[in-house]
Amino acid sequence: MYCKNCGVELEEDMLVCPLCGKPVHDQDAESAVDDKPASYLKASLNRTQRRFTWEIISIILGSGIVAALIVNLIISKKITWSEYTTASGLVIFCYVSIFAFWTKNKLAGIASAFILASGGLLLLDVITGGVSWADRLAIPLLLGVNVIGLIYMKVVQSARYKGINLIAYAFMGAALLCISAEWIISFFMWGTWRLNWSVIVAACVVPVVVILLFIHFRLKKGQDLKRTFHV
Amino acid sequence: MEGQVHHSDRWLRLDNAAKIYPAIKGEELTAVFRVGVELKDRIRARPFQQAAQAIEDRFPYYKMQLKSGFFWYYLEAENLPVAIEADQGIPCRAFGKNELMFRVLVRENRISVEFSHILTDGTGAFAFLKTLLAVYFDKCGIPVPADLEYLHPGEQPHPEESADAYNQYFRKIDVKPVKVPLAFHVPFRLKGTPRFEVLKAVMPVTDVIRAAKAYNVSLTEYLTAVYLYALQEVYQQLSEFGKRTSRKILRIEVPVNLRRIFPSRTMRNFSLYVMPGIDLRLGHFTFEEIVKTVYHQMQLETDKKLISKMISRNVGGERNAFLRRVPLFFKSFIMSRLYTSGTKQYSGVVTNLGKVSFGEEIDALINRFVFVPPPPNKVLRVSCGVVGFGDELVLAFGNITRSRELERVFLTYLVKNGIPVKIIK
Repeated sequence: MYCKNCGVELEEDMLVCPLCGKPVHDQDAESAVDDKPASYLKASLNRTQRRFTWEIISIILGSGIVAALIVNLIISKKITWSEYTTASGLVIFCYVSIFAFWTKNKLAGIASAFILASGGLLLLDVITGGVSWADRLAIPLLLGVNVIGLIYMKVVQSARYKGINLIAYAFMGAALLCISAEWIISFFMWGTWRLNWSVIVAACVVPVVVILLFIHFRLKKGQDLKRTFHV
Repeated sequence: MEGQVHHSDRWLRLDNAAKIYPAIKGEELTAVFRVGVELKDRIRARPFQQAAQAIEDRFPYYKMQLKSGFFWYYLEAENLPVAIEADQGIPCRAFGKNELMFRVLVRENRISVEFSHILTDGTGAFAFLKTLLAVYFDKCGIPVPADLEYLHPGEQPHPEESADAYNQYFRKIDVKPVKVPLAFHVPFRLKGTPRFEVLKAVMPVTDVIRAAKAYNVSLTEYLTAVYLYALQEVYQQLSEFGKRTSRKILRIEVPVNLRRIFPSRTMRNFSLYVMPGIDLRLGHFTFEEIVKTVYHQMQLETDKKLISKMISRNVGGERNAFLRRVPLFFKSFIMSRLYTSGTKQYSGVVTNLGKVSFGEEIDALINRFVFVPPPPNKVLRVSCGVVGFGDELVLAFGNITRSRELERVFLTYLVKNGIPVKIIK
């Protein structure tokens, strides 16, 4: 038995070529060169497992949303606070659905989930008494979360050493999220851009980030700065 | 226990020859070369994977990534697995930022290792391939001769293997650099990217040695002379205007393995070069005249004292108190300019790995070796790698132009002189 990709001889019990990582069967479909060595091959959920996971999450979200709506209607005779839980559940459902059935480009998946969730929020706003909060509050907040989340993912992906530096970056992301959230909320509430509490939050986060990064790089480099500054 | 955290507690300064490459390397000018072997039988996946895993810790000085410091680049230990890939596409591709700077490629019955010149030279790469092959045969149940010299995976690496031998043999000699007049370069148009292509030619080594012996020169000196002869023919084919505007000096860079002159166990770069050449302002050269010139220039320039002078000049530049303290950004800019002006001094490269042998039993399992030099830059455009095995000599011409005229003239000359040449894939 031979690997059709790299042409080496395989043993009968091999389902994947250990050198180039290509599966032994259906290799004709894969003509592109895989630049990654076999050691980097990652296990991921198959289609059936993804569908099953999506079903479980949908049931949990659906029952939560329905329960909140019923309780809200019984107590207040109208929908008030349950709008928040419904909106949150709807957003989570949109993202989970996209990632359950979209396996290609991550960035395109996030963009699609954002568009889908924005549509859902707009629809929810219309149903509950006309467009009042979706376009000026919910969708900008969601966009902020998406952009900062994407930046964080990119940073994590490109970080060669994944240690407490990722916690530091997460703190930075959270601080940025607070600033963008206050900015959007202040404009929604008072029609002006202004920052108060989020600046204090960010200022508190800075020393924590500095300490975490310092510890991380000291651990990584040992006590030795000689390598960076050797002449 | 620090190493448990990040595997990066080891670092190495770049050796003298490696220092220039980070400043000039890119997607096309990769500074990556290849040493390959073609076996008689197809590669067996499992023993090969086991062999690659078994030897990777024997060469810790290759499991490194390039880092930029404030004043110099340096190498930092990185515990990534050795990349084994299917040998498809362009040879000598650049390495990514988060990759090791060497890779192992396989295809049917061919094994190739590609190394960045930042890590080592041809000798180091060949030593790695030799160990890989020996362990692979062992894993396949083929007995490896006890007298075969290779770096056993069970051994601890000798400290000298990762040493910078240039510094070890540096003696301060007060010499001013000599201004070398610029050389002729082939006028062929560049290909579109990706540019690098390799043409491999096989010929009987005995015939080439016979031809060289007829002039009482070595195989390298003979091939260098043929290269100069081919360059002269390319020059002669130019229009009158082309001849007037072209430079008249033809020079070939021939790397010299310094381990043969200065004993060293280093597995990093330890080579310099000599540059035999002819001056067409003196008129047309016959092949006999070219061979004679090449022979005497190479005999002179490979003298131990002259090589010491070159080491002194190169390492002395690196040790200059002012240059050492120039930040890396400026240093890289200066070095990339230096590299370009350096390549303007010669018209071609002939790099000979020599005749390789693994002993009779193992040689019987091997078809041939191939040595592909790094892609030439836009000034040089063509280069040539040579390696001999058994009764075959393999020439690999790396070319980034649309023309194969130089190779055609070179190989046609060999055929006319009774050396049968076969082009292989």
